[in-house]
Amino acid sequence: MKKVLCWLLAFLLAGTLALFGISFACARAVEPGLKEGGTPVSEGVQRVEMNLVREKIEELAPIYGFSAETAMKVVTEEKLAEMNRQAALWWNGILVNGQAGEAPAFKTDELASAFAADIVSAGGSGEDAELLAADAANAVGESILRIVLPLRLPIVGRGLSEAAARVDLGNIISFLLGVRWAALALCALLAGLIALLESRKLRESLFYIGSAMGAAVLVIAACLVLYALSGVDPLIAGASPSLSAQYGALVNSAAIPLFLYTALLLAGCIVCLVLFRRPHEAKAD
Amino acid sequence: MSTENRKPGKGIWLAPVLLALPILAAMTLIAIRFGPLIVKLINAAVKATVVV
Repeated sequence: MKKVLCWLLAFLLAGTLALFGISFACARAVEPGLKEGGTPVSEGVQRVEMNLVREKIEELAPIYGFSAETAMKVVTEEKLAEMNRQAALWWNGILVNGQAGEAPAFKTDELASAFAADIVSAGGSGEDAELLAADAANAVGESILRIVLPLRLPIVGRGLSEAAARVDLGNIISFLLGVRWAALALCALLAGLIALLESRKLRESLFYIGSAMGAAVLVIAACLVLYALSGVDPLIAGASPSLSAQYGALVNSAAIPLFLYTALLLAGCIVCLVLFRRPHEAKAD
Repeated sequence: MSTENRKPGKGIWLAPVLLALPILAAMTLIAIRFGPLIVKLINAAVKATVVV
């Protein structure tokens, strides 16, 4: 009976250890976004965005008749970083309050005056040049916004306000972030119960705890395989290259702690099972 | 698997696999049953909200 109970507790411990690892990794990815001001994007993502902005400007330049070099002098890395800060604030509003705040916008005045000078020097008349320059500046500004925050903002805002009328999104997110600590507490409780049941031969409990750790490694590995097979990454990459870069950075920030945790579990499993075997080997000798 | 009186063999290394087996089986069944639906939902959400 005691053995059956120990196996049952080990089974629950395996599931809880896996749940803790996955929820911990997800929380590590989301948590920076909850800080005031949101999370700044990495340099790698900003480089990808800058390349996409350059490509878009080169695509728009012949259509509106402005010089791509002029636009790139105005659209600097600092301005892109500022747009990213605004986007981070927008995400922060969703994660903390469950409501989309003010949508980021690229100020196009400087671009418009630079484009107007370009169009006039190319032979355009004054008033037409100003109108065309304003159109071109708006097109460039919109493209930059789509690269930094490639979402249909009105649809997302509407969806969030509809959801907010039914549920408290901020509370749900903080509840989900708390799941990892509940799982950790449950892990400690289950491991403690196994040790208590095998209190006469404490080493026996190492067998169950080690097995649970090993099983958790297998479950986490299976989750990663299922995620890879789901094809979510190619789906997002196909929808938007900039969103793919942002999502990739988010996944990486979750993957590193998850891999470390899995390695720790594997090491724990090996140590526990080796320690469990050792006294028997000593007796056998 | 007795863990009390006789020396455990190499079989102890199979214990984690046996323990994970029910969870893996449940995950596989859920993935087969609901996986395509979840992917379809994600696909629809991406198409509806992401600017191409």
